[in-house]
Amino acid sequence: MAEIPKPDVKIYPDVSEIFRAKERRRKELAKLPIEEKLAMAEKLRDAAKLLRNSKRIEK
Amino acid sequence: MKEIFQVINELVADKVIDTYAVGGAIAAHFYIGAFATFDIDIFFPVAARSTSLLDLGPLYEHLRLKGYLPKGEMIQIAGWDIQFLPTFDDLTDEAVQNAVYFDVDGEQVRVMKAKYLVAIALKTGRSKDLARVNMFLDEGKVNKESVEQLVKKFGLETQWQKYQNLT
Repeated sequence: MAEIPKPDVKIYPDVSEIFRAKERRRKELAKLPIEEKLAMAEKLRDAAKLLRNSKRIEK
Repeated sequence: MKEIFQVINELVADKVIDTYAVGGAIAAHFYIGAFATFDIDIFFPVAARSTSLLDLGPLYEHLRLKGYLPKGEMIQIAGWDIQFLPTFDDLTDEAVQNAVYFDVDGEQVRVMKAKYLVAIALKTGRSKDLARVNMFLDEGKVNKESVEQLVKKFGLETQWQKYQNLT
């Protein structure tokens, strides 16, 4: 059985490294082919519709 | 998306994390129109915020054993990249503690209140964050006075002034 990969970041120096990693990821995504970007946009559109129609629960 | 929130609620049930709240652009979607994003930010409190190292290992290991694989520094669940963020200041701490519940496809989800999303966006202060602040206020999804209370409480007067100068 193939070994399940472990996350490449386990311990962050501090939370700012998380944000730097997010920014790096954002730049990587900007370079994706248009087809992949469109697929992501469609996924987000579906999610947005679901979330917007979610009802708040009073507790 | 239901699976994502089921998995995150299980983290609380399994006592891997005490609680959580959805933040960032995905949380904004519960209140206002669409924003581009590629991941889902899940904020959770950590016991010792002052420590210089944030060990997310146990959380990631728990998810890995359930078959949710890492993708760089994120975890993939149901085709989405999930970013777990420890609360990193008093504002994010309070935002998580005061989160509200939404029903997403039958799953209860803790989401930051609109006024905290606005305050965090002010603090972050990028142009896209300020655009988000504008939408919350323009669409009447947040009360200006409640934002000003948080501005005062968390020392965001400079950022608030910067936003107001733009509008």
